[in-house]
Amino acid sequence: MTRELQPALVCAVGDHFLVFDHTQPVAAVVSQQGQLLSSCSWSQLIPQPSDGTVWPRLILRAREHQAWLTRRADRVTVRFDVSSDGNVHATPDAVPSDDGMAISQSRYARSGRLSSSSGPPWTYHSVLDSLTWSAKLDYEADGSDFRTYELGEGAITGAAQSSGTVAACVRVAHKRPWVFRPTYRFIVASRLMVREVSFSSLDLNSLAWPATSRGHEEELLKYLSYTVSECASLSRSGAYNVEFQVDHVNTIPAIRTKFRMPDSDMLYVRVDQPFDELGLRGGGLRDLSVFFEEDIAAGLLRKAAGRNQDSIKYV
Amino acid sequence: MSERTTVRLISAIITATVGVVMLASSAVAAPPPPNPTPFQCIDEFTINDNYVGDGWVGALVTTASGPAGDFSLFCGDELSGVVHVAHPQSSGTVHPVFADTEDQFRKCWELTIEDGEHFAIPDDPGRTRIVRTNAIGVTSTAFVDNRGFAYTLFTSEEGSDLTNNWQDCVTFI
Repeated sequence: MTRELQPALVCAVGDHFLVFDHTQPVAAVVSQQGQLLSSCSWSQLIPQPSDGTVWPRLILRAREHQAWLTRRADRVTVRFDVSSDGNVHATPDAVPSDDGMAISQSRYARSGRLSSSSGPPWTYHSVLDSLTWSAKLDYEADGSDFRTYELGEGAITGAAQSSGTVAACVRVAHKRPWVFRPTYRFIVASRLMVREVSFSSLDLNSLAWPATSRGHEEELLKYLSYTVSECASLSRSGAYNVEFQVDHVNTIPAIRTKFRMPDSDMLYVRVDQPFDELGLRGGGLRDLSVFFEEDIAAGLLRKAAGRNQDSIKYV
Repeated sequence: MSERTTVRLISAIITATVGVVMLASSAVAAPPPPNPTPFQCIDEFTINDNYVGDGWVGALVTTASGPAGDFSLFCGDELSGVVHVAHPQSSGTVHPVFADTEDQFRKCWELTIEDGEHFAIPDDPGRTRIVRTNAIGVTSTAFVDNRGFAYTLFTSEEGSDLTNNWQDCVTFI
């Protein structure tokens, strides 16, 4: 199965954009016109990560034609040199100074304002409406020249500007039910055009780190104490027929908690995936500090019920 | 979510967006003050691209002591602390905190730690749920851990979806 680039972080390097996968050691150079110019992998240059619980996982620094990507858990850093014709070369390096750097970090959603010495300032927005994010880009140059691009459902996780062109990574996901394997879109926009960049020609399978199930069982057992606590919390909230099951124990485990509430015919299901595609802990609901008690107090079940008319509601 | 909460949440998003436009161009990254206010944490998370590197995650808002121990509320990030509680871009259910309610929010957290009943969660790193219900039935719930670290705080009351009733949390003992 093809694994395409899932762009989560981006920076401007010279006249181009350098865009990074959210998990895998792969980056691509994209032109201001939205053309994929080159790519690189550093899977053979640095060790595979062993800790996914440090958040944010990645810090990206960029200056002129160079960028540095640092893994916060162990400070392992890779430098990227991008030539004027769009070729990129990766080299292990030390963590650079922040001086003069454009800095960004892993986020689930962000809004902000960009600037450029040779183009109008773009703003990017991740707007939360109930449990759903939507993304948009806009700029206003002088009061009469303005553009707004609605990008649809999802949250912007990274954005950068080069001259008058903006690039944005959009994580296509809503807040509840939490999306563990979201798709990402990469958008390049200027005053005259907006374009979604396709990375379908870039198959990450040969460039990526493999998944590992090292320590899954022991870590999963520890993790399940959270699941049991959440089941107890559901019972306190009036839920009945509360149960959970664990699927795919030997690959990427999925924990399904099922329950019913007295005032509804619905079967509610919450899916939790504590391990990512590399087999690292860190992105499960426990690590995201998600609590049934808190969600239910805030009307989660009613909001989820409004989404569709199925008898099974994912929350 | 009640209409009041919805309106205030929309207001918070607009405020945050305006804040970005107003402040980002002149923002100079700087370390946090010794005890930032909750709203300072939220604002900084919105505008500062180097929020982590500048030390805001570990910026101490306040500390309180109670039967379960000493617990600190930090600015935090998507996953914990003030930002997790109140910022629309967090992983949590949003319980908005505004400039005019941040003192009540902080006081609500302190009262919950000082007076709340605590329930251990068999979890690593040893989390505890602390629950305080005041005289008019407003319940505030905090999740903390054995490192003295706070994950979240919210209020609940019978018949209401309002989860940021910081005012009633502190007005009535």
